[in-house]
Amino acid sequence: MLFRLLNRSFSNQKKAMSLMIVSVAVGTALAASLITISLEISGKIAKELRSFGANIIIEPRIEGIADISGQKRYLRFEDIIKTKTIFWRHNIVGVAPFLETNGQLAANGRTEQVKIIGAWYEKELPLPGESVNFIAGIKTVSPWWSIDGKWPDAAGKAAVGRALASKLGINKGNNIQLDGSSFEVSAIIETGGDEDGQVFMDIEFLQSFKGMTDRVSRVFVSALTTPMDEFAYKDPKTMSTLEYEKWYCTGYVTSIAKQLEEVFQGSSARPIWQVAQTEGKILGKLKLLIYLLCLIALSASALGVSTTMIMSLLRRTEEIGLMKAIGADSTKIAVVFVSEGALIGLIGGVLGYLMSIAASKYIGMKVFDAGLEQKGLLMPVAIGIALFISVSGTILPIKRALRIKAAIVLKGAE
Amino acid sequence: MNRNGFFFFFVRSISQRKGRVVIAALSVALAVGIITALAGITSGIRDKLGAELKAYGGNIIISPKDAGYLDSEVLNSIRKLTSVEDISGQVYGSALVNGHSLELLGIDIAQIKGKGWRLFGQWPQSNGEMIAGINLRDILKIQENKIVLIENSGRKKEFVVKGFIEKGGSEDSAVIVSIPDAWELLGINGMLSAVIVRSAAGKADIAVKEIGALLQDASVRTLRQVAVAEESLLTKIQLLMILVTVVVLSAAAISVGSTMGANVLERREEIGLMKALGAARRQIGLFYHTEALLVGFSGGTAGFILGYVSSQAISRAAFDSFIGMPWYLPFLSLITGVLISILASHFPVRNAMSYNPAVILRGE
Repeated sequence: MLFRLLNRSFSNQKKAMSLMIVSVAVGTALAASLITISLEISGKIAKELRSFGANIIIEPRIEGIADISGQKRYLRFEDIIKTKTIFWRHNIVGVAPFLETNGQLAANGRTEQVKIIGAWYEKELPLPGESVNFIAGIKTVSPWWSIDGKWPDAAGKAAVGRALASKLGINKGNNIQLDGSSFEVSAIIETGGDEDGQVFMDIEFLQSFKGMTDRVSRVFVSALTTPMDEFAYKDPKTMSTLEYEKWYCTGYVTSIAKQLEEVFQGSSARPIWQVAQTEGKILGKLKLLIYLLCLIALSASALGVSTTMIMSLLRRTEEIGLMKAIGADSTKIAVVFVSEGALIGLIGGVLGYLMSIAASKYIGMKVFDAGLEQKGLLMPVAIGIALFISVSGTILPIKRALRIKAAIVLKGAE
Repeated sequence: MNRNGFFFFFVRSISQRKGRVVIAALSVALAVGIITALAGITSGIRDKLGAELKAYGGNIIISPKDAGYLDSEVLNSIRKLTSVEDISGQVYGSALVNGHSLELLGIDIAQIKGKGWRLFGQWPQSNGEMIAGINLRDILKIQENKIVLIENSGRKKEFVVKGFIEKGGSEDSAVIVSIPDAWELLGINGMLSAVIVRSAAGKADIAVKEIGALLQDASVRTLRQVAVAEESLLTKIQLLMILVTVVVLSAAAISVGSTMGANVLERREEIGLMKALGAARRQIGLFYHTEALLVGFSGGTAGFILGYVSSQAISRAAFDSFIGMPWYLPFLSLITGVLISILASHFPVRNAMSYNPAVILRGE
């Protein structure tokens, strides 16, 4: 009997039923994509914030006063790959070694004392025991560098900072003399910082050119970190063993720096606070903002779907009157409407879930160039939401229906 | 049907069906509320995030073209530009401490508090107090509240060490004092080595141009690190907000459409009766559109208030401050409310009018 009633009610009012299913589906799709977005947003924004540049700098440890003004110390080139061996190795998204030397630049009949910097721009490093190579270089820590031309990645090539180039009248493709050797200018570099007055070449070539094999002046590291909280600001030296362990195994910028310091011989690794502090703050605020938005949008869409359900059911007063007149009691009527709502919720929920896969993929691609990953668990959640919305939408009409006087309704005077 | 008849039907229709009209207005209010909140936040988020990003420091650096100094008077003239939000001068030099040559940095310490430094100890409160880069703590074996003598070309001054800072830059090995102290030590009263400017949100290019026109003999550069990263982050967040708005909007439109549609459809009998009483199609259309206008207007007003309040609540929670409202937002909300309400009832009404009144009135 119930099945026949349901079947009739669906086939007799195709339009109204499909309208309800569509509205439940859209509501569910909205809910599911908003949940996906808010689950994934944290990681995506954290990655996005990495475009502000490196958040850790590794330099040779200064020991004693002689180092400040006297003899220079260096890091070891072979330690660079060890950044990918630390506990938080998967959070390291960029590594860029720099070697800083002085030299004499001669071009267009003028000479100038300049800093010659050795670096990589985009260098694939093989990782022992892993099939995917790791990309290191300036591009991974300082994506804002503007490089007009091709990064000097071979012997006999160099790049010149914009300010220096315009001062000496150097153009791309020109030849310049560095310490008496001839180099071809393959690129002009602009950053707005000190780099605009410097000369660049491949770090390994500069090491052999200057006879500084295995030497590195500093390494910039870009790491995904856990925002600093009150606990993280405690001095590790005053922590208990348990606290220290907790600190060491949390991805704070300070603990990642500490772990890097341990793998680079004779180094001192420090957070770049300008970047690290702001990052945590912004991440927290944006996350909160998105959560609140999702919450509001969710509750609004739930209300919207409920109103649709209510409106559709209110139209069927006559049908209810008829059911009452031929002897249906309140429970029976309620069962009919609730199961109708459940059916709508089920169909709408499945459709909505499918729609949300497409929607969150589209938004992810559009905004972050990478689709947002839909969690498998979301499907039962989405269908649950749909069922809840559509069934709860039947409650008000049912209550009303139970008050209906069959005779009055059937006479047509509401 | 004369004007009185129209009015009679209209009032009767709404007062007899209060519940349904209210539900329709409510669904319009919901849709408009979401749109208002999202539009308000999307338009204001640039300013809010821009303010948060201030901590990244300046995005423009002004330095003398040749080796030399800038007159500190330039601070006042640059500060007057509307494209400039924040400005501070810096003095660089060298200092002799315990016979060791160190970098000396003179800055306005009040300006840098909490902006990208980690402090161990305290901030200096007055002239004659200094902070040292964290590396100096171990190297010079100095401690908080100890007194050190700083020298430069025969000029000497004693300073109390208030704390140590860690920045992750060359400042970590420098001696940091107030600008007047730096002037005294370096003997260059009123001169600055560089000026760091923070432009108002999205106005970096304008600021560079205006400052360049003001200072002919200085070089004005944009710090690409800050400028590029900020722009890309802000653009992405705004795009995300817009896409979420569009998704929510489509859901809201369907909800309003179905509510209003159901509202009209169930009144086919009313339409049939009006037709039977001799109402022209135009009059019936006017009748329902007036009702839709009323629903849209009241729903739009309620929605605007709802949306405005919730956008302020969100901004308050996320950014600790209220969000500015674009002047067009109230109009946008009202127009959206009226538009979706009329659009949603237009098609069902047109559909209902095509029925034969005799058939409808018989109840088929």
